[in-house]
Amino acid sequence: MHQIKSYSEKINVVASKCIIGLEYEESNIPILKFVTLNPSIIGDGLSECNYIYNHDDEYHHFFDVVEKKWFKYSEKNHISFIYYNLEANNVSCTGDLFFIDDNSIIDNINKDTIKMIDDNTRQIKELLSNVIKYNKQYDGKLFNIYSQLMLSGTLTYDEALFSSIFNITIDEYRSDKIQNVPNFIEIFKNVIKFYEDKAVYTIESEIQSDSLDDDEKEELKLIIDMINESVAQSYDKCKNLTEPWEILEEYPTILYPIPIFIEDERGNDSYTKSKIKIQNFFKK
Amino acid sequence: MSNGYVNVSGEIKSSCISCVRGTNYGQTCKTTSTMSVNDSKNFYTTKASMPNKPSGSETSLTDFYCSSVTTAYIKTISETWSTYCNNNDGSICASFVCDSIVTKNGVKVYNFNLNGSTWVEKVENTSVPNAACRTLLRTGLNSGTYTVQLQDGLTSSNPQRPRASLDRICKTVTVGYNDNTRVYVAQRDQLGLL
Repeated sequence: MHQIKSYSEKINVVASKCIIGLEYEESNIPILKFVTLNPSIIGDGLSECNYIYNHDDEYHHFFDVVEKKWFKYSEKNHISFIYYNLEANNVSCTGDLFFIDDNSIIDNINKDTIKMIDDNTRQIKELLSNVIKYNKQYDGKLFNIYSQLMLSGTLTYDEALFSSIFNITIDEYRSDKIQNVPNFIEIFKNVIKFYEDKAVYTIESEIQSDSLDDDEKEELKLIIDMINESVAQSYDKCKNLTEPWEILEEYPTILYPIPIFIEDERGNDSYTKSKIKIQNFFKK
Repeated sequence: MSNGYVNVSGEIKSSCISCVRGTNYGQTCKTTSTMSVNDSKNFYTTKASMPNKPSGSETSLTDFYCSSVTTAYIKTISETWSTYCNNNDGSICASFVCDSIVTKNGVKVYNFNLNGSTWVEKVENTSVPNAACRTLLRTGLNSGTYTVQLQDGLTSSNPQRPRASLDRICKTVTVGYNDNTRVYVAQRDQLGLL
């Protein structure tokens, strides 16, 4: 019976059948890629740099399934290989993948993995569209970092959204110090403004309605004034604050419920939660 | 020997033999300190699968050169207490004892699985030792119990061995809420063989 001669052989043979995950770090940030060497997944025309089975001693060569391009990574660097959906398809361990020739099992594993990749892609697109909603000047590099931290399970979706919207760097979380507090406040004001406009628009639409009498319309106008006043007060209070959690507490009560990416339903703010998780992550 | 694994370098010495003999193979037959040499020979012949030997062939003590018993530590760190809620910030850190994993072609291979069917495999090139390769950290966890499975890369790549669950370490650990940090020692009850 065939014996696996080396680890590289195992990886190459398994990747020639399945999509696997590669996790490595770039500047201490975990990066997750989905890769394969399976020609039927790579497709025609993309295999011009055909590295299949052509393993050299210095690099692992794989096809990145998401970015649709070849990717290489030095063997000497620390890398984790992730094998998905094994037990769900009655494969008991990673070594078994080397010996499996049953295409239906391989197809099922790949089908499940592609579904997972699609879910991840959808989640990143959704994250981006929500970030843009509140901050068009978001930092692309930070967005990539937080989306990777979300995919690796280090941060939740809401924590990644918060961190991307507020452009908080990893170093700021690690030192628990926001460098540009006025900018943080400006972004927070943008978030408040978004919900203020939404509330005012809803009330103004009601005012246009023919079903209300003049007194009721006056009352609604009064509510708009109260909203505007409350928002102005929040802006004013924020001016003198420096701690992110203090600033976030100034979300106008009249606009409650507070967006979940700012503070969860139990009252914990996303800055503190993200900070703790990132500090724990870098303690490892 | 005091660390619970057979040294990975050097010949097996007589002082190691009792440890090897006392190893539980997880089978119906167990070695005991009173077993005769012949009984031991029969035991290893029928129960020990050597990567490069047909099943049932005789096994000599020198075959146990570089053998080891996979050993790991699993640390669980509790979720932080807060006034209002849980923070989902518990973590589990599983670390292999480096010397308990045998080296093949210059690499040690470590497999990790936490509560699911996704396996993470890390490879340590022994010419570039890197402790991070032996460790898997999972953060952002709720309090509760988790099943951690650990396996070296050699037994999993040997077609002559059955893919039985006893090839691996399987440990249930607890992430508490506002609790103490817990450390579990986990050891496989079989030898890993080069």
